[in-house]
Amino acid sequence: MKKYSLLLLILLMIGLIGCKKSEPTEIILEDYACKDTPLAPGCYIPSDDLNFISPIPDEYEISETFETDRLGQMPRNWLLYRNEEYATDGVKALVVEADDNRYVELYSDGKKAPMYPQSAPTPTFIFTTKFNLDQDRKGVAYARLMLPEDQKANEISLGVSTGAVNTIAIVINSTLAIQVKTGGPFFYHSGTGDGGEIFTTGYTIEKGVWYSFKYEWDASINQVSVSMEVDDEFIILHQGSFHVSNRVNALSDGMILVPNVFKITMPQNRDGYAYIDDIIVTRKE
Amino acid sequence: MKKIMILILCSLIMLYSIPKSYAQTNIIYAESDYDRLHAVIQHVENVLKYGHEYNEETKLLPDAINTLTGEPAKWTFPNRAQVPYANLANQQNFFRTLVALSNVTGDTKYKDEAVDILSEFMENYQSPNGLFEWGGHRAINLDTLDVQSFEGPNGPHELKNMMPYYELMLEVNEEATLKFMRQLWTAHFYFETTDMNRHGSYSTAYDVNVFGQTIPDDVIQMDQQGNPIIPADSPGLLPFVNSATDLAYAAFTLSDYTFDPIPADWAKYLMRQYNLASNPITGMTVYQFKSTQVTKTPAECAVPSYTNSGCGDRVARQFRDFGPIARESNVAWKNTQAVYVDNILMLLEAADKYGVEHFVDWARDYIEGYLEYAYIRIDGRNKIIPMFIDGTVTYGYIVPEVGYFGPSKMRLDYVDMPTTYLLPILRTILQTKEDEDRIKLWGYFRDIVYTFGLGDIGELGGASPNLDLDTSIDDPFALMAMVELYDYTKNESYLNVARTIGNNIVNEKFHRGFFVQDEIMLYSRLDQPDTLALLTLDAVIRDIPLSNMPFYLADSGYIHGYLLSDDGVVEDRNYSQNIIYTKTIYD
Repeated sequence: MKKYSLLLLILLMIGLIGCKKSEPTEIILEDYACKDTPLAPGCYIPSDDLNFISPIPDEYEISETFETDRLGQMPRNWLLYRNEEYATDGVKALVVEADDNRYVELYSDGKKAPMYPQSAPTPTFIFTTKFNLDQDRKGVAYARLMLPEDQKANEISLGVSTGAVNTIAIVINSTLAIQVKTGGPFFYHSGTGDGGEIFTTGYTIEKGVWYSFKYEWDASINQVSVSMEVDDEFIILHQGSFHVSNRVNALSDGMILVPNVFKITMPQNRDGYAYIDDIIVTRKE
Repeated sequence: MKKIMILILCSLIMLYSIPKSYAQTNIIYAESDYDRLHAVIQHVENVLKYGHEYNEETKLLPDAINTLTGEPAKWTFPNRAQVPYANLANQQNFFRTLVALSNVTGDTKYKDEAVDILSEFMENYQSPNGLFEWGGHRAINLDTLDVQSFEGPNGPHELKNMMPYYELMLEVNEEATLKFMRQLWTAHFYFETTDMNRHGSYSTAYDVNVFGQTIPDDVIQMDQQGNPIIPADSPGLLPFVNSATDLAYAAFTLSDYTFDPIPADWAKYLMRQYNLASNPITGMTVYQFKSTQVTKTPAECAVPSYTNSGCGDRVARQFRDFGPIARESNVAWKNTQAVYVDNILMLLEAADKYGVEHFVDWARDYIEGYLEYAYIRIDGRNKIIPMFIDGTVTYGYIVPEVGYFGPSKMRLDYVDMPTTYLLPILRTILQTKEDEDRIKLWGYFRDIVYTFGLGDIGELGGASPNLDLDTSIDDPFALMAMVELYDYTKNESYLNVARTIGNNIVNEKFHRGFFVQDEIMLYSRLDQPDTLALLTLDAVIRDIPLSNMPFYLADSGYIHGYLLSDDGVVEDRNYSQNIIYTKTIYD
């Protein structure tokens, strides 16, 4: 009996082996050839180099006379800061016209301000346009300003900024005195904010009169200045070096960062109007 | 002799007659499997190429790469200063990717890269007190190779669910890693008062005996109704759970490595405070177990937009209409990723690796409670109902004034449930021992998976699923979930869905030689989880045990500080995720 069992098993084995060998249509599934050599030259193909796009933006100047902007609208190249907390007409900048000249009426209710930096005198009204003279590292800006006599005039500052940091600006306070401010505000180092430097000029303005200002900067010689046009000539209100520290208008190694924004601000907690015209930024010879 | 012959012959017959698929795992590695791996290799090679190209004096890599120029991502300060940054706390998934890639390719060069980068970092950028120069407010400036602070000149140490790849760090520099894990507690945990702070000082002296004190009584005590009393006396030190998660993870790793159980005991103590502070009825847990005391002046705090924590509990200020439940700890519509995803993944990791088994029960209580009360399916989408942890719904509430939680007039609405929830839910189920304890969570998981468009995973255990093999989902968390379900069930349906998801990820997210969030997104982040998920899939197809692969734990790296806002003209305080990684190729 055992012999028969053994014989039967041997036959079964032979049969099984034989059957498997005789399958003509078996689909043989194999691993992909690169499975075990994923980095081999025939398998891995490095990607092409990126098509290089210069990270250096083009330079451009600005000439904002507002003559082609639409009446009753905000000038198209400008940004007026607002957030969810601002009232609908809490800040306004609208093109108006008188004597065939278009210019911009500015209004601020002085009630709200950007949330950051906190515990800082951030302005309510922030009206800006940008330019780029980063390669030249020098430039000239012009601006005209008028505070109204038939409306409530506001305090105002206008000048050139490096990002959020003031480079040089004139500041008209409630007594209509003209001050010059270099640097600040910049609260990146919170609690030890560098507020910049204020210079008195001895000049005041009159309401209802247009005034022209000229700002110049040249990082190669570390000079900034601001002038006011008097009798067809620009007289210097302040001339000096950039307000440079590790925190304001500079890199940590002291390299001066040049302005790229023309900025007009009106403070929190004060409301009123102002008018601007002919904001021009051009190359410095 | 004959008996032996018969036995041998019988065995041979069985071997030949049993189909191969039952005898062993026999997954064919297809060309499409290699295509996915090829994309990952290209991504990694490009990150290494362009990342190293920027400053050849260092091996450190930037946190993200501009996929048009190959340049590093840069932080723009309010003065326009642009700083390319290497924040190694934000690169942990890339290190895991490098090790995983070496595992699947068999070439050690990728792991060697990770080792080289970490070696340089740990040797040169460990503060004398033991903290590394990384985290939410510090990084390395890739122009100067100096430490760069983003929050004042002396930004604090902060980790929030970054869960570093300690296994590799210990391999690279054991002494530095151990010193860091100890100092993390010295700098962030106030043993005298049991206060914990998300911010740690680089001036705090190193204390080798950091865990030497007796573990005190619990901070959280119960009132007469059995509800937790949340203290409001913290002197500005907010014990956010996302920082506690990192402290606990470090302590468990430290105990495991040194065989000293004391750090793990402190970790259990810390995590127990969150458990005690959880709502006893709903099971939902808290983001913090203390509120801050008022230290600022009434004049400062009278301004709603002043959100400094020195004005007391910020939710009590902004959501006072809701009464006593309105506390920062009790909010269940913000920071939920930290509470119900990252925190739970750490609890489960601690349970799995370090034997803290009751953490699985806690994880299940938290997430079951959250799903029971806050999960809703609307219009075929998984959603979350905004509410406090006692179940008080805030849906539809219009916030009357600005505050820490957002602007005025903001309406609280349902929010989409992110796919990140898949992993903590699944891992909780898989680590729960008794079937009867799994049933409820499995039901939610089944609904959520179905609603995400993956098909039906079937009854408890998932052995007989009816999955959508043509799913369009392209999500790394869905992919990891399917891989882990395959690993658990060995049902190939899960593997096939995982392959579909993996193919979708490559098709939708692999552009210009990098993995990006979307085709139009400019930056490729090193911390993105897609490549690690794809390598996890590749590993299971190769029959590499998941336990041999680096494990996904978090994707929470960020930088927070002062910067120039997107408009380029005002100063802001924000996160890299909101300002930098949202930029598109058209910006």
